[in-house]
Amino acid sequence: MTIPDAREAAGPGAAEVLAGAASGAGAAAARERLLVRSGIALLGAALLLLWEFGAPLVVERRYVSAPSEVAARLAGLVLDGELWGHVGVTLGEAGAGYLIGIAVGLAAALILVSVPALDEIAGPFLAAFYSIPKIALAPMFIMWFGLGLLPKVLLAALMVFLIVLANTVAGVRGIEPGLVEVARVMGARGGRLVRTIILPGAAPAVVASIRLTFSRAMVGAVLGEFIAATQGLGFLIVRSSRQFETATVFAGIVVVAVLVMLVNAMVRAVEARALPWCAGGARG
Amino acid sequence: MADPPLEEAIRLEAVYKAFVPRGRSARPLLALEGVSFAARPGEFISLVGPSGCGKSTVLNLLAGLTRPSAGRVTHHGRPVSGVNTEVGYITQDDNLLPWRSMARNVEYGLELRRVPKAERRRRVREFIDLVGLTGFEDHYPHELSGGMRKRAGIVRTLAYDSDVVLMDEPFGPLDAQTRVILQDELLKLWDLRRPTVLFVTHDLVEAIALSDRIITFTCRPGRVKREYEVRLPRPRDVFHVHDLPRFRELYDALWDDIRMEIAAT
Ligand SMILES: Nc1ncnc2c1ncn2[C@@H]1O[C@H](COP(=O)(O)OP(=O)(O)OP(=O)(O)O)[C@@H](O)[C@H]1O
Ligand SMILES: [Mg+2]
Repeated sequence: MTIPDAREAAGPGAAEVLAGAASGAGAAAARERLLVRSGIALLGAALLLLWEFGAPLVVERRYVSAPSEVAARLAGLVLDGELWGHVGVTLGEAGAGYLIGIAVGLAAALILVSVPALDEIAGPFLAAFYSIPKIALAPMFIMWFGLGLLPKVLLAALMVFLIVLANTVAGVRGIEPGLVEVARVMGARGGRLVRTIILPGAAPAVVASIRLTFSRAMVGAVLGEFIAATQGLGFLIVRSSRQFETATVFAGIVVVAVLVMLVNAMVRAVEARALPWCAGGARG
Repeated sequence: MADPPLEEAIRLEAVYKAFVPRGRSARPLLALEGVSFAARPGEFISLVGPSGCGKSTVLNLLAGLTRPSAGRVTHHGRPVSGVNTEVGYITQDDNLLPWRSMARNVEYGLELRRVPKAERRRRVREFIDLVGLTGFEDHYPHELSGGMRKRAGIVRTLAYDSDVVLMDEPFGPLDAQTRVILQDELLKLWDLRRPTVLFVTHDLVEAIALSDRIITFTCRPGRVKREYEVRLPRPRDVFHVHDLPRFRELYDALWDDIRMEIAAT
Protein backbone atom coordinates (compact mmCIF):
# COMPACT_ATOMS: atom_id res chain seq x y z
CA MET A 1 0.00 0.00 0.00
CA THR A 2 1.41 3.37 -0.94
CA ILE A 3 0.34 6.72 0.25
CA PRO A 4 0.02 9.01 -2.75
CA ASP A 5 2.45 11.87 -2.64
CA ALA A 6 0.45 14.99 -1.85
CA ARG A 7 2.83 17.05 -3.98
CA GLU A 8 1.57 15.27 -7.06
CA ALA A 9 -2.12 15.66 -6.28
CA ALA A 10 -3.66 17.40 -9.25
CA GLY A 11 -5.17 20.77 -8.34
CA PRO A 12 -6.66 23.54 -10.35
CA GLY A 13 -4.27 26.18 -11.65
CA ALA A 14 -3.93 29.51 -9.88
CA ALA A 15 -5.73 31.31 -12.71
CA GLU A 16 -8.72 29.01 -12.34
CA VAL A 17 -8.86 29.57 -8.58
CA LEU A 18 -8.74 33.33 -9.05
CA ALA A 19 -11.45 33.22 -11.71
CA GLY A 20 -13.51 30.94 -9.47
CA ALA A 21 -13.13 33.27 -6.49
CA ALA A 22 -14.22 36.23 -8.58
CA SER A 23 -17.26 34.50 -10.05
CA GLY A 24 -18.07 32.80 -6.73
CA ALA A 25 -18.01 36.12 -4.90
CA GLY A 26 -20.10 37.60 -7.71
CA ALA A 27 -22.67 34.80 -7.55
CA ALA A 28 -22.90 34.91 -3.75
CA ALA A 29 -23.36 38.66 -3.87
CA ALA A 30 -26.02 38.32 -6.58
CA ARG A 31 -27.94 35.73 -4.50
CA GLU A 32 -27.82 37.97 -1.46
CA ARG A 33 -28.97 40.98 -3.47
CA LEU A 34 -31.92 38.99 -4.80
CA LEU A 35 -32.88 37.85 -1.28
CA VAL A 36 -32.71 41.37 0.12
CA ARG A 37 -34.62 42.90 -2.77
CA SER A 38 -37.44 40.38 -2.69
CA GLY A 39 -37.60 40.79 1.10
CA ILE A 40 -37.99 44.54 0.72
CA ALA A 41 -40.69 44.12 -1.94
CA LEU A 42 -42.65 41.63 0.17
CA LEU A 43 -42.48 43.64 3.38
CA GLY A 44 -43.45 46.80 1.49
CA ALA A 45 -46.43 45.08 -0.13
CA ALA A 46 -47.52 43.64 3.24
CA LEU A 47 -47.42 47.06 4.90
CA LEU A 48 -49.40 48.66 2.06
CA LEU A 49 -52.05 45.91 2.19
CA LEU A 50 -52.31 46.27 5.97
CA TRP A 51 -52.79 50.04 5.58
CA GLU A 52 -55.31 49.63 2.75
CA PHE A 53 -57.46 46.90 4.33
CA GLY A 54 -56.45 46.62 8.00
CA ALA A 55 -56.34 50.24 9.13
CA PRO A 56 -60.01 51.08 8.30
CA LEU A 57 -61.08 48.32 10.73
CA VAL A 58 -59.46 50.27 13.62
CA VAL A 59 -59.63 53.97 12.66
CA GLU A 60 -62.09 55.87 10.55
CA ARG A 61 -60.97 55.87 6.92
CA ARG A 62 -60.99 59.61 6.43
CA TYR A 63 -58.31 60.05 9.13
CA VAL A 64 -55.83 57.58 7.68
CA SER A 65 -56.66 57.53 3.98
CA ALA A 66 -55.40 54.52 2.00
CA PRO A 67 -52.47 53.78 -0.33
CA SER A 68 -54.75 53.71 -3.34
CA GLU A 69 -56.16 57.16 -2.49
CA VAL A 70 -52.70 58.55 -1.76
CA ALA A 71 -51.41 57.21 -5.08
CA ALA A 72 -54.35 58.73 -6.92
CA ARG A 73 -53.84 62.08 -5.18
CA LEU A 74 -50.12 62.01 -5.94
CA ALA A 75 -50.86 61.34 -9.60
CA GLY A 76 -53.34 64.22 -9.54
CA LEU A 77 -50.78 66.60 -8.04
CA VAL A 78 -48.20 65.59 -10.63
CA LEU A 79 -50.60 65.85 -13.55
CA ASP A 80 -52.07 69.25 -12.73
CA GLY A 81 -48.52 70.50 -12.14
CA GLU A 82 -49.18 71.75 -8.61
CA LEU A 83 -46.57 69.43 -7.07
CA TRP A 84 -43.55 70.86 -8.93
CA GLY A 85 -44.00 74.34 -7.53
CA HIS A 86 -44.00 72.99 -3.98
CA VAL A 87 -41.08 70.66 -4.61
CA GLY A 88 -39.05 73.47 -6.18
CA VAL A 89 -39.60 75.87 -3.28
CA THR A 90 -38.84 73.32 -0.55
CA LEU A 91 -35.83 71.84 -2.34
CA GLY A 92 -34.48 75.34 -2.96
CA GLU A 93 -34.81 76.32 0.70
CA ALA A 94 -33.42 73.04 2.01
CA GLY A 95 -30.61 72.93 -0.58
CA ALA A 96 -29.47 76.50 0.08
CA GLY A 97 -29.66 75.96 3.83
CA TYR A 98 -27.78 72.68 3.47
CA LEU A 99 -24.89 74.26 1.58
CA ILE A 100 -24.70 77.27 3.89
CA GLY A 101 -24.84 75.03 6.98
CA ILE A 102 -22.04 72.79 5.67
CA ALA A 103 -19.78 75.69 4.69
CA VAL A 104 -20.25 77.61 7.94
CA GLY A 105 -20.02 74.43 10.02
CA LEU A 106 -16.71 73.41 8.40
CA ALA A 107 -15.21 76.89 8.70
CA ALA A 108 -16.27 77.24 12.34
CA ALA A 109 -14.87 73.81 13.16
CA LEU A 110 -11.49 74.61 11.60
CA ILE A 111 -11.32 77.82 13.62
CA LEU A 112 -12.31 76.00 16.82
CA VAL A 113 -9.61 73.34 16.46
CA SER A 114 -6.85 75.67 15.32
CA VAL A 115 -7.05 78.09 18.27
CA PRO A 116 -5.87 76.35 21.47
CA ALA A 117 -8.60 75.77 24.08
CA LEU A 118 -11.17 77.63 21.95
CA ASP A 119 -13.35 74.56 21.48
CA GLU A 120 -13.31 73.92 25.22
CA ILE A 121 -14.33 77.53 25.87
CA ALA A 122 -17.08 77.38 23.26
CA GLY A 123 -18.14 73.88 24.35
CA PRO A 124 -20.78 74.70 27.00
CA PHE A 125 -22.41 77.35 24.80
CA LEU A 126 -22.60 75.01 21.82
CA ALA A 127 -24.01 72.26 24.06
CA ALA A 128 -26.70 74.64 25.36
CA PHE A 129 -27.51 75.79 21.83
CA TYR A 130 -27.54 72.20 20.68
CA SER A 131 -30.05 71.16 23.32
CA ILE A 132 -32.64 73.78 22.29
CA PRO A 133 -35.36 72.07 20.24
CA LYS A 134 -35.07 73.94 16.97
CA ILE A 135 -38.86 73.84 16.60
CA ALA A 136 -38.98 76.42 19.37
CA LEU A 137 -36.92 78.80 17.23
CA ALA A 138 -39.06 78.52 14.11
CA PRO A 139 -41.72 81.11 15.08
CA MET A 140 -38.98 83.59 16.01
CA PHE A 141 -37.20 83.10 12.73
CA ILE A 142 -40.45 83.95 10.92
CA MET A 143 -40.81 87.02 13.12
CA TRP A 144 -37.25 88.17 12.53
CA PHE A 145 -36.78 87.30 8.89
CA GLY A 146 -40.25 87.71 7.42
CA LEU A 147 -42.55 85.45 5.49
CA GLY A 148 -40.32 84.75 2.49
CA LEU A 149 -37.72 82.08 1.82
CA LEU A 150 -35.05 83.50 4.14
CA PRO A 151 -36.28 82.17 7.50
CA LYS A 152 -36.69 78.68 6.03
CA VAL A 153 -33.20 78.71 4.51
CA LEU A 154 -31.75 79.86 7.83
CA LEU A 155 -33.65 77.21 9.81
CA ALA A 156 -32.35 74.52 7.46
CA ALA A 157 -28.81 75.94 7.71
CA LEU A 158 -28.97 75.99 11.50
CA MET A 159 -30.06 72.36 11.68
CA VAL A 160 -27.14 71.34 9.44
CA PHE A 161 -24.53 73.70 10.90
CA LEU A 162 -24.54 72.29 14.42
CA ILE A 163 -24.19 68.67 13.30
CA VAL A 164 -21.43 69.39 10.78
CA LEU A 165 -19.58 71.52 13.36
CA ALA A 166 -19.73 68.84 16.07
CA ASN A 167 -18.72 66.04 13.70
CA THR A 168 -15.85 67.97 12.12
CA VAL A 169 -14.39 68.85 15.52
CA ALA A 170 -14.74 65.22 16.61
CA GLY A 171 -13.21 64.06 13.32
CA VAL A 172 -10.16 66.29 13.74
CA ARG A 173 -9.76 65.31 17.40
CA GLY A 174 -10.01 61.66 16.39
CA ILE A 175 -7.05 61.74 14.00
CA GLU A 176 -4.34 59.35 15.18
CA PRO A 177 -1.81 61.66 16.93
CA GLY A 178 1.05 59.52 15.58
CA LEU A 179 0.06 60.41 12.00
CA VAL A 180 0.26 64.11 12.76
CA GLU A 181 3.61 63.74 14.55
CA VAL A 182 5.18 61.70 11.75
CA ALA A 183 3.92 64.18 9.17
CA ARG A 184 5.41 67.08 11.14
CA VAL A 185 8.78 65.34 11.44
CA MET A 186 8.61 64.76 7.68
CA GLY A 187 8.24 68.51 7.30
CA ALA A 188 4.50 69.18 7.06
CA ARG A 189 3.19 72.32 8.72
CA GLY A 190 0.67 75.14 8.31
CA GLY A 191 -1.55 74.90 5.27
CA ARG A 192 0.08 71.74 3.98
CA LEU A 193 -0.46 69.95 7.28
CA VAL A 194 -4.13 70.95 7.14
CA ARG A 195 -4.49 69.94 3.50
CA THR A 196 -2.59 66.65 3.58
CA ILE A 197 -3.35 65.37 7.10
CA ILE A 198 -6.10 67.23 8.98
CA LEU A 199 -8.71 67.43 6.22
CA PRO A 200 -8.34 63.87 4.89
CA GLY A 201 -8.07 62.55 8.44
CA ALA A 202 -11.33 64.18 9.46
CA ALA A 203 -13.01 63.49 6.12
CA PRO A 204 -14.82 60.23 6.95
CA ALA A 205 -16.59 61.78 9.97
CA VAL A 206 -17.28 65.00 8.08
CA VAL A 207 -18.66 63.29 5.00
CA ALA A 208 -20.86 60.97 7.06
CA SER A 209 -22.33 63.99 8.83
CA ILE A 210 -22.83 65.77 5.51
CA ARG A 211 -24.69 62.75 4.16
CA LEU A 212 -26.93 62.42 7.20
CA THR A 213 -27.83 66.08 7.52
CA PHE A 214 -29.80 66.59 4.30
CA SER A 215 -32.83 65.13 6.05
CA ARG A 216 -32.37 67.75 8.78
CA ALA A 217 -32.20 70.51 6.20
CA MET A 218 -35.55 69.26 4.87
CA VAL A 219 -36.95 69.26 8.42
CA GLY A 220 -35.83 72.88 8.84
CA ALA A 221 -37.40 73.99 5.57
CA VAL A 222 -40.68 72.11 6.10
CA LEU A 223 -40.88 73.35 9.69
CA GLY A 224 -40.58 76.94 8.53
CA GLU A 225 -43.29 76.35 5.93
CA PHE A 226 -45.61 74.90 8.58
CA ILE A 227 -45.63 78.21 10.37
CA ALA A 228 -45.97 80.70 7.58
CA ALA A 229 -45.72 80.09 3.85
CA THR A 230 -47.67 80.32 0.64
CA GLN A 231 -45.88 77.50 -1.15
CA GLY A 232 -43.74 74.45 -0.43
CA LEU A 233 -44.33 70.88 0.71
CA GLY A 234 -44.70 71.94 4.35
CA PHE A 235 -47.36 74.44 3.31
CA LEU A 236 -49.12 71.75 1.24
CA ILE A 237 -49.15 69.34 4.19
CA VAL A 238 -50.41 71.89 6.72
CA ARG A 239 -53.09 73.31 4.44
CA SER A 240 -54.38 69.85 3.55
CA SER A 241 -54.46 68.69 7.14
CA ARG A 242 -56.51 71.73 8.11
CA GLN A 243 -58.97 70.78 5.39
CA PHE A 244 -58.94 67.08 6.40
CA GLU A 245 -57.52 66.08 3.00
CA THR A 246 -55.65 63.17 4.51
CA ALA A 247 -54.59 61.69 1.16
CA THR A 248 -52.85 64.95 0.23
CA VAL A 249 -51.06 65.08 3.59
CA PHE A 250 -49.68 61.61 2.99
CA ALA A 251 -48.78 62.45 -0.60
CA GLY A 252 -46.72 65.38 0.70
CA ILE A 253 -45.01 63.19 3.29
CA VAL A 254 -44.15 60.59 0.65
CA VAL A 255 -42.62 63.25 -1.59
CA VAL A 256 -40.47 64.61 1.27
CA ALA A 257 -39.21 61.11 2.08
CA VAL A 258 -38.42 60.34 -1.57
CA LEU A 259 -36.51 63.61 -2.00
CA VAL A 260 -34.39 62.92 1.11
CA MET A 261 -33.58 59.42 -0.06
CA LEU A 262 -32.66 60.60 -3.56
CA VAL A 263 -30.27 63.24 -2.24
CA ASN A 264 -28.77 60.71 0.22
CA ALA A 265 -28.10 58.29 -2.63
CA MET A 266 -26.42 61.07 -4.62
CA VAL A 267 -24.19 62.10 -1.70
CA ARG A 268 -23.32 58.46 -1.06
CA ALA A 269 -22.20 58.03 -4.67
CA VAL A 270 -19.99 61.13 -4.44
CA GLU A 271 -18.62 59.88 -1.10
CA ALA A 272 -17.59 56.49 -2.49
CA ARG A 273 -15.75 58.25 -5.27
CA ALA A 274 -14.09 60.87 -3.09
CA LEU A 275 -12.97 58.58 -0.24
CA PRO A 276 -11.92 55.29 -1.83
CA TRP A 277 -9.74 54.35 1.15
CA CYS A 278 -12.66 53.93 3.52
CA ALA A 279 -14.83 52.03 1.05
CA GLY A 280 -15.68 48.53 2.29
CA GLY A 281 -12.56 46.94 0.76
CA ALA A 282 -12.25 43.92 -1.50
CA ARG A 283 -14.74 41.07 -1.61
CA GLY A 284 -13.31 37.67 -0.88
CA MET B 1 43.93 60.88 26.80
CA ALA B 2 40.54 61.55 25.19
CA ASP B 3 40.19 61.28 21.45
CA PRO B 4 40.10 64.59 19.59
CA PRO B 5 36.43 65.61 19.26
CA LEU B 6 35.07 63.80 16.25
CA GLU B 7 32.27 65.09 14.16
CA GLU B 8 29.05 63.96 15.83
CA ALA B 9 25.69 63.29 14.25
CA ILE B 10 23.73 63.36 17.48
CA ARG B 11 24.42 63.73 21.18
CA LEU B 12 22.45 63.45 24.40
CA GLU B 13 24.07 65.11 27.41
CA ALA B 14 22.77 64.28 30.91
CA VAL B 15 19.22 64.19 29.61
CA TYR B 16 16.35 63.88 32.09
CA LYS B 17 12.74 63.53 31.10
CA ALA B 18 9.83 63.71 33.54
CA PHE B 19 6.22 63.20 32.48
CA VAL B 20 3.39 64.77 34.42
CA PRO B 21 0.36 62.63 33.75
CA ARG B 22 -3.06 64.23 33.50
CA GLY B 23 -5.27 63.94 36.55
CA ARG B 24 -4.78 65.55 39.94
CA SER B 25 -3.74 62.56 42.00
CA ALA B 26 -1.13 61.33 39.51
CA ARG B 27 2.51 61.88 40.47
CA PRO B 28 5.14 62.93 37.94
CA LEU B 29 7.08 60.04 36.47
CA LEU B 30 10.78 60.07 35.70
CA ALA B 31 11.30 58.32 32.35
CA LEU B 32 14.99 59.19 31.73
CA GLU B 33 17.67 59.93 34.29
CA GLY B 34 20.94 61.45 33.11
CA VAL B 35 21.17 59.73 29.73
CA SER B 36 24.31 60.58 27.76
CA PHE B 37 25.57 59.11 24.52
CA ALA B 38 26.61 60.25 21.07
CA ALA B 39 26.63 58.77 17.58
CA ARG B 40 29.24 59.23 14.89
CA PRO B 41 28.03 59.96 11.36
CA GLY B 42 27.13 56.73 9.61
CA GLU B 43 27.05 54.69 12.79
CA PHE B 44 24.31 52.09 13.31
CA ILE B 45 23.36 52.01 17.00
CA SER B 46 20.79 49.79 18.69
CA LEU B 47 19.05 50.76 21.92
CA VAL B 48 18.01 47.78 24.03
CA GLY B 49 16.24 47.75 27.37
CA PRO B 50 13.17 46.67 29.31
CA SER B 51 9.74 47.85 28.24
CA GLY B 52 8.96 51.33 29.56
CA CYS B 53 12.61 52.31 30.10
CA GLY B 54 12.34 55.33 27.80
CA LYS B 55 13.69 54.14 24.45
CA SER B 56 10.85 55.70 22.45
CA THR B 57 11.23 58.81 24.58
CA VAL B 58 14.87 59.13 23.45
CA LEU B 59 13.78 59.01 19.81
CA ASN B 60 10.96 61.52 20.44
CA LEU B 61 13.51 63.89 21.99
CA LEU B 62 15.74 63.64 18.92
CA ALA B 63 12.76 64.19 16.62
CA GLY B 64 11.88 67.25 18.68
CA LEU B 65 8.40 65.94 19.46
CA THR B 66 9.09 66.40 23.17
CA ARG B 67 11.63 68.48 25.12
CA PRO B 68 14.07 67.30 27.76
CA SER B 69 13.24 68.29 31.35
CA ALA B 70 16.98 68.82 31.85
CA GLY B 71 20.10 68.26 29.76
CA ARG B 72 20.93 68.85 26.12
CA VAL B 73 19.94 67.10 22.92
CA THR B 74 21.95 68.12 19.87
CA HIS B 75 21.92 67.26 16.19
CA HIS B 76 25.18 68.16 14.40
CA GLY B 77 26.09 70.23 17.41
CA ARG B 78 22.92 72.34 17.31
CA PRO B 79 20.34 71.93 20.09
CA VAL B 80 17.09 70.37 18.91
CA SER B 81 14.35 72.94 19.41
CA GLY B 82 10.94 72.29 17.97
CA VAL B 83 10.13 69.53 15.53
CA ASN B 84 13.35 68.29 13.92
CA THR B 85 12.53 67.85 10.25
CA GLU B 86 16.11 66.86 9.47
CA VAL B 87 15.79 63.38 10.94
CA GLY B 88 13.80 60.51 9.47
CA TYR B 89 11.54 58.83 12.02
CA ILE B 90 10.09 55.37 11.58
CA THR B 91 7.73 55.08 14.53
CA GLN B 92 6.62 52.06 16.51
CA ASP B 93 3.28 52.09 14.62
CA ASP B 94 3.78 52.31 10.88
CA ASN B 95 1.68 55.49 10.65
CA LEU B 96 1.12 55.22 6.91
CA LEU B 97 -1.50 57.70 5.76
CA PRO B 98 -4.66 55.61 5.24
CA TRP B 99 -5.95 57.97 2.53
CA ARG B 100 -2.88 57.64 0.30
CA SER B 101 -1.93 54.67 -1.82
CA MET B 102 1.34 52.94 -0.97
CA ALA B 103 3.29 54.81 -3.68
CA ARG B 104 1.76 58.15 -2.67
CA ASN B 105 2.80 57.42 0.93
CA VAL B 106 6.38 56.81 -0.18
CA GLU B 107 6.18 60.04 -2.18
CA TYR B 108 4.92 62.14 0.75
CA GLY B 109 8.27 63.22 2.24
CA LEU B 110 9.62 64.12 -1.21
CA GLU B 111 6.49 66.15 -1.88
CA LEU B 112 6.97 68.08 1.37
CA ARG B 113 10.54 68.76 0.31
CA ARG B 114 9.27 70.09 -3.02
CA VAL B 115 11.27 67.61 -5.08
CA PRO B 116 10.15 68.06 -8.74
CA LYS B 117 7.51 65.60 -9.84
CA ALA B 118 9.56 63.63 -12.36
CA GLU B 119 12.43 63.17 -9.93
CA ARG B 120 9.92 62.22 -7.20
CA ARG B 121 8.32 59.54 -9.34
CA ARG B 122 11.71 58.14 -10.27
CA ARG B 123 12.90 57.91 -6.64
CA VAL B 124 9.61 56.36 -5.52
CA ARG B 125 9.78 53.71 -8.23
CA GLU B 126 13.39 52.94 -7.38
CA PHE B 127 12.77 52.53 -3.64
CA ILE B 128 9.59 50.52 -4.09
CA ASP B 129 11.52 48.22 -6.36
CA LEU B 130 14.35 47.87 -3.81
CA VAL B 131 11.97 46.33 -1.26
CA GLY B 132 10.02 44.27 -3.77
CA LEU B 133 6.74 46.17 -3.52
CA THR B 134 6.43 46.75 -7.26
CA GLY B 135 2.88 45.95 -8.36
CA PHE B 136 1.34 47.21 -5.10
CA GLU B 137 1.79 50.93 -5.81
CA ASP B 138 -1.94 51.65 -5.94
CA HIS B 139 -2.90 49.61 -2.88
CA TYR B 140 -4.09 51.49 0.18
CA PRO B 141 -2.34 50.61 3.47
CA HIS B 142 -5.28 48.49 4.67
CA GLU B 143 -4.84 46.37 1.55
CA LEU B 144 -1.19 45.50 2.36
CA SER B 145 0.20 42.77 4.62
CA GLY B 146 1.99 43.68 7.85
CA GLY B 147 5.41 43.13 6.30
CA MET B 148 4.51 45.20 3.24
CA ARG B 149 3.36 48.07 5.46
CA LYS B 150 6.67 47.98 7.35
CA ARG B 151 8.61 48.01 4.08
CA ALA B 152 6.54 50.93 2.81
CA GLY B 153 7.07 52.84 6.06
CA ILE B 154 10.83 52.29 5.90
CA VAL B 155 11.30 53.36 2.28
CA ARG B 156 8.96 56.33 2.82
CA THR B 157 11.51 57.63 5.31
CA LEU B 158 14.69 56.54 3.54
CA ALA B 159 13.50 57.96 0.19
CA TYR B 160 14.10 61.54 1.33
CA ASP B 161 17.64 60.94 2.47
CA SER B 162 17.91 62.22 6.04
CA ASP B 163 21.40 61.81 7.48
CA VAL B 164 19.94 60.54 10.78
CA VAL B 165 17.24 57.86 10.84
CA LEU B 166 15.37 56.91 14.01
CA MET B 167 13.71 53.50 13.96
CA ASP B 168 11.44 52.33 16.79
CA GLU B 169 11.01 48.54 16.78
CA PRO B 170 10.27 48.64 13.06
CA PHE B 171 9.98 44.85 12.84
CA GLY B 172 8.24 44.41 16.19
CA PRO B 173 5.05 42.59 15.28
CA LEU B 174 6.43 40.52 12.41
CA ASP B 175 7.05 36.76 12.30
CA ALA B 176 10.61 35.47 12.61
CA GLN B 177 11.18 34.72 8.90
CA THR B 178 9.85 38.05 7.65
CA ARG B 179 11.97 39.82 10.27
CA VAL B 180 15.22 38.32 9.05
CA ILE B 181 14.38 39.09 5.44
CA LEU B 182 13.57 42.69 6.33
CA GLN B 183 16.78 42.98 8.39
CA ASP B 184 18.71 41.92 5.32
CA GLU B 185 16.87 44.46 3.16
CA LEU B 186 17.41 47.18 5.75
CA LEU B 187 21.17 46.62 5.80
CA LYS B 188 21.28 46.83 2.01
CA LEU B 189 19.26 50.06 2.03
CA TRP B 190 21.42 51.50 4.80
CA ASP B 191 24.54 50.67 2.83
CA LEU B 192 23.41 52.88 -0.08
CA ARG B 193 23.91 56.14 1.86
CA ARG B 194 25.04 55.04 5.31
CA PRO B 195 22.91 57.39 7.40
CA THR B 196 23.33 57.40 11.18
CA VAL B 197 20.74 54.97 12.54
CA LEU B 198 19.29 54.76 16.04
CA PHE B 199 17.44 51.48 16.15
CA VAL B 200 15.24 50.44 19.08
CA THR B 201 14.62 46.72 19.45
CA HIS B 202 13.80 44.04 22.01
CA ASP B 203 15.49 41.41 19.91
CA LEU B 204 19.14 40.87 20.90
CA VAL B 205 19.90 38.82 17.80
CA GLU B 206 18.60 41.63 15.64
CA ALA B 207 20.61 44.23 17.58
CA ILE B 208 23.84 42.27 17.08
CA ALA B 209 23.18 41.43 13.45
CA LEU B 210 22.53 45.04 12.44
CA SER B 211 24.55 47.35 14.67
CA ASP B 212 28.01 48.79 15.09
CA ARG B 213 27.26 49.55 18.72
CA ILE B 214 24.58 48.45 21.20
CA ILE B 215 23.53 50.60 24.15
CA THR B 216 21.63 48.87 26.95
CA PHE B 217 19.28 50.79 29.24
CA THR B 218 18.32 50.15 32.85
CA CYS B 219 14.69 49.75 33.86
CA ARG B 220 12.76 52.96 34.60
CA PRO B 221 14.03 55.56 35.16
CA GLY B 222 16.09 54.79 32.08
CA ARG B 223 19.86 55.25 32.34
CA VAL B 224 22.58 54.02 30.01
CA LYS B 225 23.77 50.76 31.52
CA ARG B 226 26.54 49.68 29.13
CA GLU B 227 27.76 50.12 25.60
CA TYR B 228 28.98 47.23 23.44
CA GLU B 229 31.07 47.55 20.28
CA VAL B 230 29.80 44.78 18.02
CA ARG B 231 32.96 44.46 15.90
CA LEU B 232 31.55 42.05 13.34
CA PRO B 233 32.77 42.57 9.77
CA ARG B 234 30.53 44.15 7.15
CA PRO B 235 28.81 43.43 4.87
CA ARG B 236 26.96 41.10 7.21
CA ASP B 237 25.02 37.98 6.45
CA VAL B 238 22.03 38.27 8.79
CA PHE B 239 21.00 34.71 7.98
CA HIS B 240 24.20 33.28 9.43
CA VAL B 241 25.58 35.71 12.03
CA HIS B 242 24.57 33.26 14.77
CA ASP B 243 27.36 30.93 13.73
CA LEU B 244 30.15 33.38 14.58
CA PRO B 245 31.91 32.96 17.94
CA ARG B 246 31.83 36.74 18.52
CA PHE B 247 28.04 36.55 18.23
CA ARG B 248 27.68 34.02 21.10
CA GLU B 249 29.98 36.02 23.30
CA LEU B 250 28.04 39.27 22.77
CA TYR B 251 24.68 37.60 23.05
CA ASP B 252 25.51 36.09 26.43
CA ALA B 253 26.85 39.38 27.80
CA LEU B 254 23.79 41.31 26.56
CA TRP B 255 21.39 38.73 27.89
CA ASP B 256 22.98 38.86 31.38
CA ASP B 257 22.60 42.63 31.32
CA ILE B 258 18.99 42.59 30.25
CA ARG B 259 18.01 39.71 32.51
CA MET B 260 19.17 41.66 35.56
CA GLU B 261 17.10 44.66 34.52
CA ILE B 262 14.00 42.63 33.81
CA ALA B 263 14.37 40.93 37.19
CA ALA B 264 14.58 44.39 38.77
CA THR B 265 11.23 45.53 37.34
N1 LIG C 1 3.38 61.32 26.65
C1 LIG C 1 3.60 60.67 27.82
N2 LIG C 1 2.93 61.04 28.93
C2 LIG C 1 3.14 60.40 30.09
N3 LIG C 1 3.99 59.39 30.26
C3 LIG C 1 4.69 58.98 29.18
C4 LIG C 1 4.53 59.59 27.91
N4 LIG C 1 5.34 58.96 27.03
C5 LIG C 1 5.97 57.99 27.73
N5 LIG C 1 5.60 58.01 29.03
C6 LIG C 1 6.10 57.13 30.07
O1 LIG C 1 7.49 57.14 30.02
C7 LIG C 1 8.02 55.84 30.20
C8 LIG C 1 8.91 55.48 29.04
O2 LIG C 1 8.13 55.33 27.88
P1 LIG C 1 8.71 54.89 26.47
O3 LIG C 1 7.59 54.83 25.53
O4 LIG C 1 9.84 55.77 26.11
O5 LIG C 1 9.25 53.43 26.80
P2 LIG C 1 9.90 52.35 25.82
O6 LIG C 1 11.24 52.05 26.36
O7 LIG C 1 9.80 52.81 24.42
O8 LIG C 1 8.95 51.10 26.07
P3 LIG C 1 8.52 49.95 25.02
O9 LIG C 1 9.71 49.08 24.86
O10 LIG C 1 7.41 49.25 25.73
O11 LIG C 1 8.09 50.62 23.76
C9 LIG C 1 6.84 54.90 30.35
O12 LIG C 1 6.65 54.61 31.69
C10 LIG C 1 5.67 55.70 29.85
O13 LIG C 1 4.53 55.39 30.59
MG1 LIG D 1 8.70 52.22 22.77
